[in-house]
This record gives sequence, structure tokens and C-alpha cells, in this order.
Amino acid sequence: MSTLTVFLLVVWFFQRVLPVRGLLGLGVSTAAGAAFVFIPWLGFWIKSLAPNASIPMVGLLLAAILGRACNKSVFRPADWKAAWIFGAAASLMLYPSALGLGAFDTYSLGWPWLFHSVSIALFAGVGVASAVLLWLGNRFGYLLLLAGLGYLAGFQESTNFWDYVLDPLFGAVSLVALIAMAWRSRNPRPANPRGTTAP
Amino acid sequence: MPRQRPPAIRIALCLAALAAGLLPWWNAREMAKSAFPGFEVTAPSAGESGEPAFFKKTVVNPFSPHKKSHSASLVRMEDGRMFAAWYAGSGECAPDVAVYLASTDAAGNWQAPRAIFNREKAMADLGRNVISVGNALLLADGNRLGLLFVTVAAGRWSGSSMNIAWSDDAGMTWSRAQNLTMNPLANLSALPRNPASPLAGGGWAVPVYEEFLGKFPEVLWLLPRGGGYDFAVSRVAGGVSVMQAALVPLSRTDAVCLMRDFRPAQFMSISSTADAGRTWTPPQATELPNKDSGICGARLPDGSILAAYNDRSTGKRENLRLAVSGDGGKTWKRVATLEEEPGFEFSYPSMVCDPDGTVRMLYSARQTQIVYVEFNTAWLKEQEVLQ
Repeated sequence: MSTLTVFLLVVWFFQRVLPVRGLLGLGVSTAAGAAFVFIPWLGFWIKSLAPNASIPMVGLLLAAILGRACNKSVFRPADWKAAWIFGAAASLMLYPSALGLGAFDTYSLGWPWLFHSVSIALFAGVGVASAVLLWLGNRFGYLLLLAGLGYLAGFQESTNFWDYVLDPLFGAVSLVALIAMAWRSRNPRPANPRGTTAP
Repeated sequence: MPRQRPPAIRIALCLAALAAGLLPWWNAREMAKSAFPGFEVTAPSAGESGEPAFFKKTVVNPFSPHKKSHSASLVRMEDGRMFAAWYAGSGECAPDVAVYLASTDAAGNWQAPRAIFNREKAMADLGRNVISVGNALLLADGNRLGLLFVTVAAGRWSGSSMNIAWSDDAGMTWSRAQNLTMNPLANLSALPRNPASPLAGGGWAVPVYEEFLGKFPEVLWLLPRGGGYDFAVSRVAGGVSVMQAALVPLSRTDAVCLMRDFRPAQFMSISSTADAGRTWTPPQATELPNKDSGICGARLPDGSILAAYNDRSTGKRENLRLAVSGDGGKTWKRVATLEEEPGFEFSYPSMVCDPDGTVRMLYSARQTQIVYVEFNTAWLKEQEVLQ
């Protein structure tokens, strides 16, 4: 999963910097991504430093890459917003605690048998969030559903539920995106004088 | 406004989402009954076996060519053999560091140690980048030997993660090492130090610690499941204050953690649990002065706690003392000095106590020799009189 995430990150990056767009851009970016992840020692580093990439992060990267390649939004603004809100909220719940803040580690809740009666809050929280989003037609709900199914299937090396729904990259991107959204809502751009959409 | 799917599909999707979230939790209900099962402890006795006082001291690695040999761990198997593991090489986190294992023969003499895990083997097993191996901790499962050990992916100890391997032939061959994901931040910075405490019904509570941004103690719970072991981690205390806990069970539900403290006060710290490790009291300083050095502890047959520590009253790690507490760690009495030599270092004690009161301990001398000492409670009482 972590190698796939790095591969998708490289594809996403090259899609944005290469002058070619559409399917040709996707092909060239995919080749670059494949070449990158086949660097012999890189896989060892990826597994060392990013051992458990989350399923939502993979889904978001795929949505961004396919949307750009097909020039059609796979994720709509509301879907992205839901992803950033979820990622930021989950990050704030998990990472400060994991770094040592407080006498209880919220990461422990990701092993459902350890603090069983308390960890229902995490599992039900993700399940309900996913159900509500799917009911509203929000596509980020599919990614949370896949994360839950991935955990049931034991998809990753980690046995902790948190690692299926969140990773540090997803958390960091979510926080930055939410801050950017908040800043933009306070400082709206002036209307485009030519009346065209910005690229 | 997003295009809505037919209600039946939306309902099915919502039910699937709820099921995907809740099923793992529901499936864990049987396993949850065995969480915090309680510590395996022998009933307290008077501790007077009638055996004469004895004290034995040997060097486990007398001909070690390494500049550094450190952080030793000890277990005693069902058949009475003892095993010791430690890391050795040119220095902490150096590429040539390996985990070494030594065992005793039928007469109780230590045999020549051999390297069992180095960075090349760890890389091959784990498929990860490993710049060095480090702290190792042995587990005794009947006559099966377990090894928890650290691999460093980058930097120093803060870039470490924990791995586990098993041996069914007294450490001659080892299973493929498996990485344990113990925290969500790249799974970095988890280390073992002090002995694991057996749990009622099998498995262990392993005191471990993190030293990334925060430095704090945790417990790694290894519980038997389906022929193997399932694991989870819970916290003893947070923050940047204490670490390297020595877990000392006092009864099935009660235990204390004695901890290395690197706060300015510089006293050994203690936390206690009365619910088998589910919750712990905030760390409190004891009266034993300890300057940010490794400590260890064990429960003696009479129920009192024996601690080994560097007493900072005569320098950082220039001595190794023993102290006993008869009231669960509230008050302490120094009872013996194992080592004291100005300018030298004696550190990282690790000890276990047999039900008959025989205390077995390993520690590093000058961080080059792994020293084994063995004594009984009668010897302790003699020393107490001499103090």
C-alpha cells in the first residue's frame, strides 16, 4: 500500500509539472512513477518510513490523477471538503496523543480488543461517518467504506484500524487544505474581469 | 447538488458502511475478554528457604572484541537453562552492531555468545532499510525462545521500530523477523528494555518505551491467539518525563512500574496499577536518587520489591545499588552495593527473581562487559546488615 501511495504521488506530481495533459500526460507520468518505485533501494526506504499508507489517501490520489487525466472531476468540491474535514479531525485526535500528549494513547483504540468498550467510539464513528456521507451522495464515503473493508481483510502490515483510515501524509494535507479553505473563505478572490474560469 | 442514487442502493451502501465499521469491533468481543488478563505471580512466602547465603558473579562475554556491549536481557527456560541477549558492535546504532545470544550449559556455565541478528539479516527478513540493530529482549515460552529487538531505520534510537522472532531450537535458528506496528507515525521509536512479565493464561506484558518527540513508557501486550500472538500497546504515562519502565507485578491485578526519570528532580519514578495494567497512576518520584539511568526491579518471594539502580549520590553511573521496598514502592531502604568504582560505568541492570528467591541479574560494565550476578535473599539480608 505504501509503495502504491508513493507511486501515485509521483504520477500526481509529474501530471502537474509536465507540459502534456490528458491521457498522454497520464501515460508519461505513470512511466515516471513506475521508474521511480523500481529504484532498487527505494522500496526498503518506503517500507521503513511509510509502512502503512491509508486507503483514503490512495483513493484521493487516484481521484486527483484520473480527474486530471480525463479532464473531469472524479471528486466534487464537497467530496474533497469531507475528506479534508475527516483527515484533519482524525489527525487532531490521533497524532498529538501518539506523540505523548496525555495519559491515554488514542492509537490504542485501533486494536478493538484492548479497550473494547471504549474503542466502539472509533469504529462506530468511522462507520457512521461513512454511512452518512454515502447517504448524502458524498464520494469520500466510499473511501471510508473501503478502509473498513480493508481492515476486515487485513490488507496492511498494521493490525491497527487507525492505519487503514489515516496516515501522516493524509493528515498533514487535510490540515493544510482546511486552513487554505478557511483563509480563502475569509479573503475571497476578486471576480475574474474576463469572466473566464482560472486554469 | 450531487445526483442521488436510488434509495435501495443508498440504504445498502449505508448498511455496508456501518457493517464495515462495526464488524471488526464486533468480531473482537471474544478476544476482548482476554484483554488485561492479570499478571502471573507466585503466592508470597516467607522467603526463608533455609539455603545459606550465596553470591555468584561471572562475565558472560569475557573475550568480546567489541567496543560496546550493552542492554542485556535474561530469561530462564523451563528446563533451567538461562539465555542472555544483548547488542554489541563499534557503537550505538553503528552498522556493525549485532544482537548476541549466550546460554548456560547443564552446569550453569555461560557458553560463548554468537550473533543471531545483524542488519543484513534484519533487512532481508523485514524488507526494510536497517542501519543498525539495537536493544533486544528475550521471552521464554516453555522451551521456545522469543526475541524482541530493535531495528533503526534512520538516525538514532528515535528512528527505531520493534520486531519479533522465535526459535524452537534454543536460539540456533530463528523464524523470519516480523515488524510490529506500534505507533502511527511511520512506526518509529519503540524500544524494549526491561524483562517481560508473564500473564495469567499465557502471553506477556512487555514494558517498552518511545523516544521520538515524547519520551514515555508503554506496555506491549502479547496475547496468545490462534497458535501465535496478537499484540497491542497501551500507555503507562505520557509526556517527556520518564521511560524504560521495569514492570513488577505484585499480585494478579496490582503492579508497579519503576522508571528512569530525566526530569530535573532526578529520582527514580514509580507508577502503579490496581486493574492489571488497564490504568496507571501518574508517575511519582521515589526517594531513590537516579540521574537518568537505566533501572530494574523484581518482586521477592516475600512480596517486597527489589530495585537495582545507579545511585546518583556518587556520580552518574559509577555504582550499582540494590534497594528494597516492603510497602509497594512508597519507601525504600538501600540494602547492597553491587559495584562502585569512580570513573567507571555500571549500567542497564536487568533482573528476574525465581520463586525460591534466587535473583539473577545482568548488567553492563563499562558498556563492554555483560556481567551476570546471582544471589539469594539470605545474601541480601546479610548485606542489609552491613549497610
